[in-house]
Amino acid sequence: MYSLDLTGKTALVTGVGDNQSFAWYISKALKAAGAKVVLAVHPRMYGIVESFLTRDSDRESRLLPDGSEFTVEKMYACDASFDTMEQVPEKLRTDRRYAKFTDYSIKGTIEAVGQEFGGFDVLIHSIAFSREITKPIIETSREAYSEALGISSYSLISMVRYAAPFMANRKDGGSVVGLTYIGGDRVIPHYGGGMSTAKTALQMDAKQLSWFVGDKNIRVNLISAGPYASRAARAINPDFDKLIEHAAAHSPLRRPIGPEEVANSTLYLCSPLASAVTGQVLYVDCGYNVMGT
Amino acid sequence: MSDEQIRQKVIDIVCEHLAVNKDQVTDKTSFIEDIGADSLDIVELVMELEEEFDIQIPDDQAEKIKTVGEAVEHIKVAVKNKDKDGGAKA
Repeated sequence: MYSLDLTGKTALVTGVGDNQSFAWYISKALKAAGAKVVLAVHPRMYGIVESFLTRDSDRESRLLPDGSEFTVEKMYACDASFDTMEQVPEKLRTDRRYAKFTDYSIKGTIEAVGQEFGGFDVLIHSIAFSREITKPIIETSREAYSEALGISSYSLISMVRYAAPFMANRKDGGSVVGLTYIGGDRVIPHYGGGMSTAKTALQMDAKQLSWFVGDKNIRVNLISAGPYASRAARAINPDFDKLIEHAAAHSPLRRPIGPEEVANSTLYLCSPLASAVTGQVLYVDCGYNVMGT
Repeated sequence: MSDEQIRQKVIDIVCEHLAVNKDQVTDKTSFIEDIGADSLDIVELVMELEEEFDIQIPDDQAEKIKTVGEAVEHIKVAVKNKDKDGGAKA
């Protein structure tokens, strides 16, 4: 019998913002499959995520299929804007919200996790940001465009670079999984602020990276998730529900996706079942991407 | 818990959380304009207040809370409603 057992594996998950985010569901699925889960959370979200992990009122959102509660091994603060602490502007470094953390760069976080846990097997990249996400691309400023690509795309390159030595030649190989969106392949007009370009870049970068770490038996894949009304998505676009309805009506399966389905497909990509799968974009979108209408 | 106890506790949490001195805080103090808090600070603060007072503050109501006094008033009502329901939570 085939089984999907990640016991003995350690997973570093970035991009948990709240208990509706894909990264939250992915973290829970990895834990339920037996993996140790370590979170790297944006410094500004650290307290918020800590609350979701501990408050009685959020207990239900922590429940795993076997009735136990989701827990993490450790939480680190990580700001994907910075590869090393030298890049952090003085003003931000001394801001009280950041000053409580010593090293929240990508390099610092990855190395700390790698050293503490004796390497790791899974890296989840679920990070995207544009300060002008509500602006169509034609109105997007150069600054916001560059920032969106830096945080949403370059961060994957940076993470894989620093993680590769800690993920190299693990027992069942290492697996990096990132989240993308069809707005990086086709025109989704509201997907602005440079995010569409950021996803296109992410998709090419994942393919490039798959070559450069493949010799260490590390696989790099992306999941292109169908539209899902997370808190973040609803904040970006008040008409997001209409977009979901449209996609659902035009998908072969004729329904919207659930976040658990993205998490389940991520588990597959992280498991030995996907041992020959790398450099791929897996569409978890009820088939929406194949349609011509 | 008396209204004044609630008020003091809210002020304590605001001061600790947003790193301000107690003598700088009055009912009229605006989180954003006077303390320099942003939307993420507010989300974090609301979550701590919910946990501390064992209440729920829905997002659409949280958005309307602009000052320390408004937070205190909101929590007073929420705490009273909770007591009325025998402490049961939604």
